[in-house]
Parts: sequence; structure tokens; C-alpha cells
Amino acid sequence: MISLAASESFRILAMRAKPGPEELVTRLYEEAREDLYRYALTFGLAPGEAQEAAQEVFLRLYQSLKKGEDIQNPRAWCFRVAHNLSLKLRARQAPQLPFDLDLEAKLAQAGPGPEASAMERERLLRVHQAIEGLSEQQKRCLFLRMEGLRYPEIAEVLGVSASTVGEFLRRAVTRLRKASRD
Amino acid sequence: MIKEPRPHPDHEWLLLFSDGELPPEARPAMQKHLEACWECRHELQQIEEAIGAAVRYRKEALGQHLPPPPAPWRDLSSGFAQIDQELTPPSLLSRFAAALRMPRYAIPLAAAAALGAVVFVARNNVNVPTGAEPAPAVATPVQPTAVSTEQPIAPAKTVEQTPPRVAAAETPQATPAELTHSAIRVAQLLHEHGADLGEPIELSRAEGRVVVRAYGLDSERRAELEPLLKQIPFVDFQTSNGNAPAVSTTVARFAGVSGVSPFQKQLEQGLGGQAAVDTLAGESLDHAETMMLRAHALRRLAEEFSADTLSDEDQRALRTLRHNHAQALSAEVARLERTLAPALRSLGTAPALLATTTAAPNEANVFAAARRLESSIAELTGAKPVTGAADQLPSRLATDLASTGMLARSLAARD
Repeated sequence: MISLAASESFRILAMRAKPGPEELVTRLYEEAREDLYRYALTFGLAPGEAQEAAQEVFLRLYQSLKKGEDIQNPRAWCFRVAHNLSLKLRARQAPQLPFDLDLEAKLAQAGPGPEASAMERERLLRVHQAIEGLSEQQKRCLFLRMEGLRYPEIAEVLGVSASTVGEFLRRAVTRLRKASRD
Repeated sequence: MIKEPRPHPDHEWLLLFSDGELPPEARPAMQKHLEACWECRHELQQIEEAIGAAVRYRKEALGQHLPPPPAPWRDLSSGFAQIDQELTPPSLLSRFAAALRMPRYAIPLAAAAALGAVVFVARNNVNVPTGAEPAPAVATPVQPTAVSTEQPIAPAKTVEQTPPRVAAAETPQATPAELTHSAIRVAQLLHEHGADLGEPIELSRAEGRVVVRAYGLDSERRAELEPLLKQIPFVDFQTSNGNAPAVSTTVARFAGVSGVSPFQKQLEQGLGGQAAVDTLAGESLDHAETMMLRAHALRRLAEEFSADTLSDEDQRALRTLRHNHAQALSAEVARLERTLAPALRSLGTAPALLATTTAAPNEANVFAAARRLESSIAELTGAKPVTGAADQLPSRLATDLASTGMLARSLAARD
């Protein structure tokens, strides 16, 4: 049996173990900022804009935590905010062309390296083309899943049901299978 | 015994299984099927391989071939600090300081007195002869109006004076009725724009003109009001280019204030802790300030227009203005009653149910009552030293609440 005193000290320990907003956000910022930056880039934002957006996301996270908002999965929360922010920024830059990442050319370009990497590059290029062939929503599903979000979390970002996420991912995976097998 | 052949799960279910998204009740059956079925195990393996391809793509294609962030990552700590600052409610200390500052409603008159001169004078209905030099400007010193505040104002040390741009040209003279009508329209306009509640804008009449004086108005507000005011005949809109004089009395006055209620212990006990007392103090000071703004606006209307003979139209307009203020004032006192009720209860004072004032329901009396109430609140919350017997303070406060409430309701009902 746990004495009251022991459970009390456990409670205090548990409270101490939970990081405060500043610590939590700083840690997550170190871990996840590059991921968020890349996610923002896939919307066609210019690198400077994508980096600004990624930084902004963490400030908003800090603000929400400080306001006492209960955020179950801060990483998923960040992707949701980054998603919405990127959409907004992309809408604003409407008249300009989206920033061209030119990934295909970069992947196709044979750089110096062992022969095995040429084959690997070939496979990456096929995967890239398969992903480019997906619909925007399917692509978002896949990217967010790659970033570790669970189905309900992806559903919340995209404003669709979790079963729709399952269906989108199934299609994406089917394409990836073909691309990586060929 | 022959078992029914199990149907193979479709790809989506396999992916769900592999992603751990399958409903818990479906998992054991899937597990069993996979153990038995080579085909599905092979399918599952292919799904895993596709996932592997996606992971490699993320790492190698996105991770290595996307442009790197163009700038070094910012240190967020200054952003955190800014957010902290934005989220921190004003401390009770600064709230007390605010309560002790010159009341907002007294600023226009005080500013006039301290500035001594109005700097920009823009007149409408003025014909400036084109091509001619503007007539030499005369800065008209503003007579310090009888300042009705109880607190002295530190004179502004430096007043930037810009040569006034007055064109002393022929100005059409208004009849008294026209002038009154213009003044009422100005009052209406200021009311519609919320400029009659503590903003440093003052309406007066002098020498056949309606004079609207504004002190340190920001340019946006000025741009909003000026064109509208200029449409009303016989109106001069005067703005100073400086800020309303800073009132430097706060700190000195604040030094003598404890910030702690004379009934702190009882209140903490009754309300459930210091935080609750702080909240009560903050809220009641807020309501008291709003109440005073309304009381002052009412009094100003009475002072400005009581001697006028008003047309029916003007009468109606004035009534509406008075009614709005009186009703808002009455609502604010009701809020104060609700806010302060728990405090009064914990001090063993019942709210004074019977009206305890015999004062006539007019603007001067409601202003005086509101002023007494504000003072009692400041004393109870420790924002001001107690005057008179401290043990009488709760019942005094209850009485002030009741009489201000009664007067405000009578005024609201009048119009």
C-alpha cells in the first residue's frame, strides 16, 4: 500500500517531470523545426517564408501553452498550425509562381558517388514521381504520416474523417509499392 | 470439422494493421489470419517495403535535396518574453497606480489648463483669400477652465508650440439656436464615436462658435473625427500637437498606499484567498472607472446644455444621449453591486436595500454619489488610505452603492 506521504511526493515528482512551456517548446523547436520547414516548403513557399512560418509555429505553440491550452501531442499540433499557415501564405503569394523546388532535376542529377547510389537515386526518382502523381490531399496525408502523425491527427489537419485518411494512404502506398518495385 | 475459409482482408485493413490504427477488437482476428495466410503476410511485407521507400524518400530526397533554411534559426527567447508580456494581466500594483492617476474624465480640462495654448486651429466656414499670405496668426490662450478634479495637475514642462494656422477671416455668426443645434450635433457625433468617454476631447461654446478641443489625439483618431466635425456648421476643431501633459503625481501618491485592504484577512477568508481578493479589487476598480466616465459625461451634458432653449429635435437628441449614459451608468453600478456583494457579505455587511439618499436625481448629485462610491471602493481595496472610521467603511460602501444605483436608475428612467 502506498502511504499518503509517498503518493504525495510522487505527485510532486510527476509535476516536476512535466516540462514548462518554455522548456517544452525549446526542445521541440530543436527537434522539429527542420521537419516543419520542409513541410512548409512542400507547399511551394520560398525558403525564407517557409522558415519564418516554421518559427512562427513555435511561438504560437508557446502562446497556446501559456494560455493553458491542453495540447496532447505538441508535434502534431505544430504540423496542423504549419499546414494552415502555409496555406494562408501560399494564398497570399497567389499571383507569383510557387517556389519551384526542382527536386526532380536534383534527384536525376548524377553526383559523384558509388555505383550503388545511382540505383538508389533511380529508385528515389521513381518514388518522387509517384508522389507527385498523387492528389494534393493524398500527398498531404502521406507527408504528415511520414512525419509521424496518427490518422485522427492527420484527419484534423486536413478536415477529413480518419477513414478518408486511411483510404488516401492506401492509394498512396499502392503507388509507392509499384514505384519501389519496378 | 471443416472451417469456413476466411476472406482475405483488403489492403486498407493491412495498412491499418501495420500502422496500428486497426480497432483493438479487430486485431486478434487479423493476427490469427496473418499467421495462417502466406499471401497476406507477403502483402503486408510489400506494404512495409513501400513504407520503407517513403521513409527513405523523406530522409534522402527531402532531407538532402531541399534548399536549407536561408537564415540561422532564430533564438525564440525574445519571442517568448514578448508573449509573456502580452499575456500578463496588468498587475494589481499598476491597477492601483491607474486608479490613483488623474481620472481620465478630468484630462481635457486639465490639459487645457496646463497647456495654456491651443496650437492648431482649423476653422471651417473660413474664406481664406487665395494667393494672399495667410493672416498673421494669433495664438489664443485658452483660459484655464475651472478644473473640477480633486487632484492637482503637474504642469507640463515643455510644450511644443507650433505657430497656429488661423485665418482670421470673416466668420459667419450663428444665432443662439443654430449654435445650440451645432453643439448638440457635435455631442451626438462624439457620442457615436465613443469620444465622450474619457478621451481628451472637450466641447465648449465661445463667441458664436462651437469649439472642440482635442489634446494629443493620435493621427488616426484625428483623421476619423475631423472631417465629420467639419461638416457641422460653426465648429472649430482645435488640436494640440503634443500629448496631454503627463501626470507625474502617481508615484508620489502611490508611495503612501499599501495596496492592501484594511480588511485583507477577512476578505481572504471570505473569498478564498489572496488571488480572489486581487481579482475582486481589479474588477471593482475597472467598473468604478467606467462608472465615473459615464457620470462625468452626464454631468458635462447637463453643464453644457442646461441653460439652452432647445428645439424639439435637439431636445430629443439630448434625451437620447442622457439616457444612454444614465443607463450605462446604472448597469455599471449593478455590476459593482454584484462584484462587491461577496466582499460585503464576508465583512458581515448586508447590502443596503433601502435607498438612503434624499438627493434629487440630477446629474450633479449622481456624479457626487459616484465619486463617493469610487472613493469607498478605492479605500476598501487598499488603493487609497481610509478616510474616516475604518470599521464603518463596509456599511458606507453599501450605502454608496445603493444611493448611486438609485440615482442612476432614476436618471435612466427620466429620459
